[in-house]
Amino acid sequence: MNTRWSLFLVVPLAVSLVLLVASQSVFLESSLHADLGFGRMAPAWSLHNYIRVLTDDFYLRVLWLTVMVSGIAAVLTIVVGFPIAYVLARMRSRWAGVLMLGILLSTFVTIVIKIFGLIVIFNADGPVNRLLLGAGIVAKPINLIGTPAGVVVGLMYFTIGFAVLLMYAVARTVPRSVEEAAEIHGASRRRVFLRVILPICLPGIAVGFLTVFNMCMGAFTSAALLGGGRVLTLPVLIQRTILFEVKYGMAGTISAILLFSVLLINLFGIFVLRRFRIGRRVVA
Amino acid sequence: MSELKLEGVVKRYGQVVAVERVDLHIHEGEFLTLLGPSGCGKTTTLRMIAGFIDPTEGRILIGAEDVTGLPPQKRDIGMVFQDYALFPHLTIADNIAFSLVERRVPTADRRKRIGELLDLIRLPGVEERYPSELSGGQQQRVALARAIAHPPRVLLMDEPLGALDLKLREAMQEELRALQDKLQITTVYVTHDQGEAMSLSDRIAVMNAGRIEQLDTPSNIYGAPRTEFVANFVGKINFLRGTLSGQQDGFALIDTPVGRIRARMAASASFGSDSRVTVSIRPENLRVIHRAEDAGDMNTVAGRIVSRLFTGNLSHVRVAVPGEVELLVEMRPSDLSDAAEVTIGWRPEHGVLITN
Repeated sequence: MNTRWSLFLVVPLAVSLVLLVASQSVFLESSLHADLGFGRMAPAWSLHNYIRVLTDDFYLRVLWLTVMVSGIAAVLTIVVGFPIAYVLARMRSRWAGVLMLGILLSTFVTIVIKIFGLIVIFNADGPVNRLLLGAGIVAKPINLIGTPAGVVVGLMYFTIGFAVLLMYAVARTVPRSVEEAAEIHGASRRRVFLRVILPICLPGIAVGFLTVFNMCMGAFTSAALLGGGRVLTLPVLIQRTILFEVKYGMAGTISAILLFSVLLINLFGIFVLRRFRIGRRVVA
Repeated sequence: MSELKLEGVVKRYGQVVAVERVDLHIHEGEFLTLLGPSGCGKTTTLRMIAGFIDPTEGRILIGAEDVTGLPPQKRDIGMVFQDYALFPHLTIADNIAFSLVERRVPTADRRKRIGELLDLIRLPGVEERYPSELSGGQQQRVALARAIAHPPRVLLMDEPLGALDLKLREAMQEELRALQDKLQITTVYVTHDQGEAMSLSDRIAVMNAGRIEQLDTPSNIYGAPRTEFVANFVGKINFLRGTLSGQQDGFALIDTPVGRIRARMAASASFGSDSRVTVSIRPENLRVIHRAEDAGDMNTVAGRIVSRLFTGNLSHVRVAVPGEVELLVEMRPSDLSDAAEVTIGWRPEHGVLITN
């Protein structure tokens, strides 16, 4: 008798349903109630909050800033992460394993500790600024904390480890012999990268980009700590709406907007990905 | 197309010697095979010719040009890989035209060349397909077309048929040989399959432990192996050890545990008298002598059948002879009776002397 292994998937399905759908439905439901102040919500359903968010310049600018900061952070993370992953994938010495372990361990260090490290390094009297001032590159200390650029750096720090691990798996799918075939048939290193490595890895890179982008969109700690209260992204705004304004309905609405914008961007991404083909195998 | 020369090429990795010293002169249009077991240095040698590995010592010349320090891109070589190494994201046409694009060949010429090559490998009409849509044999033919699209000075093949099944491999061997006869490209072919080496090559370099043991035509490699390694690696073989005791009628006389036998003197070899030698005899040259008068001037030895293996058209029979030696005899099943005691004989010219 064959065991029907697929039946075992019922368990993770149930857990996912409870944790994901059930919890999300709570705030999705609350997003339909107008706030009455002091944490009270109107009993009737209405689109009041949604109309407010989608017509108010303030909320739209926060949404735009969140998408921009996440997008830039994701692009930069992939640009920095892919070469690292590629070199690791091609390394034949035993250092590859050590380096991989280092990346893995640093990835699982809590982001709070890493961000405080960044703050120490980048503060006005920190080593980076002292170096730049001493070398005469800048006239006054550059301030990353409390700027979108600082948030981008924080998000990159948060996601780079995951990105390298993801890209490592992608880079491993390019056989060495395919690169050698390109080299011996006349392609320079640059051309090998542009004509062979990059196109073969592109679907994987795109998936990696979306993953990193999603992590950035929902990242609270990096944005809150490096934004210093001056850079408002959606996750930071949600926290403030709940804690400082005690508007549960509005917080639910902003969460829903975050959820749906991430969903839409991902659906669009998958749509674009489907148009890439490796051979006739459709990717994603 | 050019000749290819390897002069005193050595490759060491720290203490490990991958290629001890290789001198090779491959003539223009010649098909030369590097044959040997894995780890013998044949692939390392090929990769040094390609430029993927730098030799520790020695020079590599294509035509008159010293290419030793040159990167692969600049060597004007075509190469076929064991795993095909086609570009999965490019169509067959783009795969074949890869080197033409890199060398900025105009589009119209490129298209014409793609058509010619697809006809040559007998796969017309697959231009717009992708590698994953072709079978292994078809992919390897495309890989060959890609390697010769921009006529290379030298064509390298690294076990190109290794990933194919037996039937396809044999068909591809014939096809490769026919293509080689037509194109006359200087080719270095790497394989561990002796049959493949035999049927394809003009000359074979049998490699062992980083050295070339024998560089010769396929028929000499098989019929006149110079070392035990070569004799053993290529086909099945019997060895009889003994001492050289003299010469008679152009044959060497050797005293062995099975008695005094006569064997062919290799023209090039010189043996001091009384030196230890080995005589090699191919199993197909041994036969069962049913009546004493059939023996003629053959070497004969009496023995006892130990085992019989029926392989289809032939039987492999092991015969124990004096000196704790077993001789492998290949014969038609009909030549064999049920008798356990047999006399084995072979013509003196079928015994080949090998240096120890």
